[in-house]
Amino acid sequence: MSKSKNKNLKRTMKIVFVPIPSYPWPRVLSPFAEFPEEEKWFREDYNFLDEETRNRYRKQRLYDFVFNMWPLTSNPEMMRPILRCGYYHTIMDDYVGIMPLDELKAFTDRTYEIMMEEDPQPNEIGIFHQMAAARKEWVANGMPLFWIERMAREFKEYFTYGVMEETPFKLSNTYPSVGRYLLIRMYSIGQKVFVNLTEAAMGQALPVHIHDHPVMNRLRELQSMIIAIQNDFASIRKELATDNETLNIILVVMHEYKIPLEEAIVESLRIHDEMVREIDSITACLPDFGLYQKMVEDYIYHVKIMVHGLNAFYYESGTKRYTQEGFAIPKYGTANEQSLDLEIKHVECDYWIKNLKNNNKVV
Amino acid sequence: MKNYQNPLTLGYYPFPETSIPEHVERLKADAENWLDNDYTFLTDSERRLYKIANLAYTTIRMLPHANTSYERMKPAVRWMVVVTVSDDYYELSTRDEIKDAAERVRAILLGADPLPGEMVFFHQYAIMRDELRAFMPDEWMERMAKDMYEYLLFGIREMAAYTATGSLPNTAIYSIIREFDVAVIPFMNFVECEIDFILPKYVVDHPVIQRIRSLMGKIIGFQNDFYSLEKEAVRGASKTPCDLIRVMEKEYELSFEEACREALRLHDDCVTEFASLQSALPDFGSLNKDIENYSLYMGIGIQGLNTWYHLDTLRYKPEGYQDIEKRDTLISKNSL
Repeated sequence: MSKSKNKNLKRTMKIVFVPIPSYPWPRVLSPFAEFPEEEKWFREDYNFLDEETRNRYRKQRLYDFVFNMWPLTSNPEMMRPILRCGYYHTIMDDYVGIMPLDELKAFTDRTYEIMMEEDPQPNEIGIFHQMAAARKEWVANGMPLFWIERMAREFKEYFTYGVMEETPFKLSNTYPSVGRYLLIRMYSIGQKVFVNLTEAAMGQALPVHIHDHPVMNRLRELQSMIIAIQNDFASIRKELATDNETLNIILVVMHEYKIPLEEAIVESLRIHDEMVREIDSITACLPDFGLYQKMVEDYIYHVKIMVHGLNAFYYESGTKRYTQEGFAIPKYGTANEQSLDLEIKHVECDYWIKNLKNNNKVV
Repeated sequence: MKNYQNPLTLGYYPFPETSIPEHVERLKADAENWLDNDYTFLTDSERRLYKIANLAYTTIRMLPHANTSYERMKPAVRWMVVVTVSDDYYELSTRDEIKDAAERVRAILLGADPLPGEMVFFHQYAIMRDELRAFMPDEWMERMAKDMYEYLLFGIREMAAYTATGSLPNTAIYSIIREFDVAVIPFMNFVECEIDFILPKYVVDHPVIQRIRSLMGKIIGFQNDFYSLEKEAVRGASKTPCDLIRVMEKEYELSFEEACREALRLHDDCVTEFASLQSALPDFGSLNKDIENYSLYMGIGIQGLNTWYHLDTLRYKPEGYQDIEKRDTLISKNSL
């Protein structure tokens, strides 16, 4: 991929149209719109970030993605720990970036302890204070300990199978196979943790034997992979323009099948849409969960709303997370954006299929 | 159906084909001996059917390592006989009965002793457990117990819901159930007996290893579906069959030939993904060589089972079909 700047070409720069993924699922709006408590958190617990970074986070409107993903909760006491998790997981994701392995392992272990039961020391990073506060609020609002343990375990897996598996590819600027990529992203996207907040939003946890049924495991895998691809579509411009960002489905597909960007977009959307269909197939043919049938159906409804809501956040809420203005700078590595010799335009999926998929001669 | 041509030719898979060690004949005699002396509830005709299925060869085609001892493979053959016979038996059981069996198998593998009057399966599992204890650690046995429980609960039990009513799941659900139902996830734990290397828990739990196991389940399940069709083409079906081809035919409203093509495409996608994961395993540090060897022998097992269908068994051949016809009328009486 060429990153050279050529001012003469700029006027006639090629435009690449990227479809906005669409979903056959409901879009539900949250009763919440604003979140003034954000400032207090930034001041008290995120003061390890410099003022510039905090400003970038303000522009990202993180509360809005949380409201979009869990819009069915009107109880502010349940919303608060969900918001906390939305913030600390996102900020932590940027913070660990390509942290050296030893440091990352220590951070992972500490996250597990805090999420399970321990209180952080006063001098420990504010992320941990937020995490402990959320845990206490969940327990106070009736979430069972087996659910807390699951959260702790899945945070650990997010680091171990997600962040740590990504690092070698980022450092060496190499690409995994598509199959391997999806396995890594399934964890690194953080959805395996976030999907649990659905139960917090519902006010009850799925029993262990229901949660661990392979059909439910597959559902959550699909949800994670869909959101990862959705995220890759929204952030493709940032990743084309940044070093050490090989981990985007479009780039991985380009590399594996040796095809141009436009064709890789078509193939990536196909992979995404097949997963969306698979979730609907699973929903149409659920196993017999006995007493818990209704609860499982309700859970799946929430999961579909999450997927749809997050996508809407990227394109509708005015977040600057994937623009130069809103990039968070990781503790290690650089977020310096380079100029591109092409322009990315996000367009509605239907419009793209009708008008652009063929014009690019990629069908 | 008349024109059905099984696409899985000899050597179909992109994995090595190997010869099998001579102890397979000794194991074959063992298997026949168990069928004669321990599986006393079987009729002569059923017993003969399991003998011509040639289950010691199934086992060793899937675990063909040249340096593996007879002693190490004996419990794997014992497993193969129990699971094959009990598979047919549980086909006619209720959801509750299958759940009870799943819990009982798990308990026995974890150390419980079967009661004197209990079904032969549980006694065989207890003997197998004791044989394995001589060279396999508790951690491995615990994994085996969990995998057996899941095979019965998520595979046999979920599939029974469809075979009992003659209805079909859709492809998404079928792929999940079949992966467990074909029992290959617990069976392939024997690869570690075969290559004399125990995967540490953190390696087994890694998503890439989990995915390799899961893909192997799907590949072997779909592979079996292609052979079952071949069997049916000669034998006809006594009940509504539940296989990938039927499932796709119904869900996507395809002709039989189109459904065969689509089913093969799905099977081949799994094989491609399996091979691509094999070729770029995660970094397990000092264990890399051993994990590569493990994943190599997983692939060899897929190729080996395909070879068994072609060369070693009559289970899917006309001579076997006639017996199956008879067995279908006999087994319903026996199961009471």
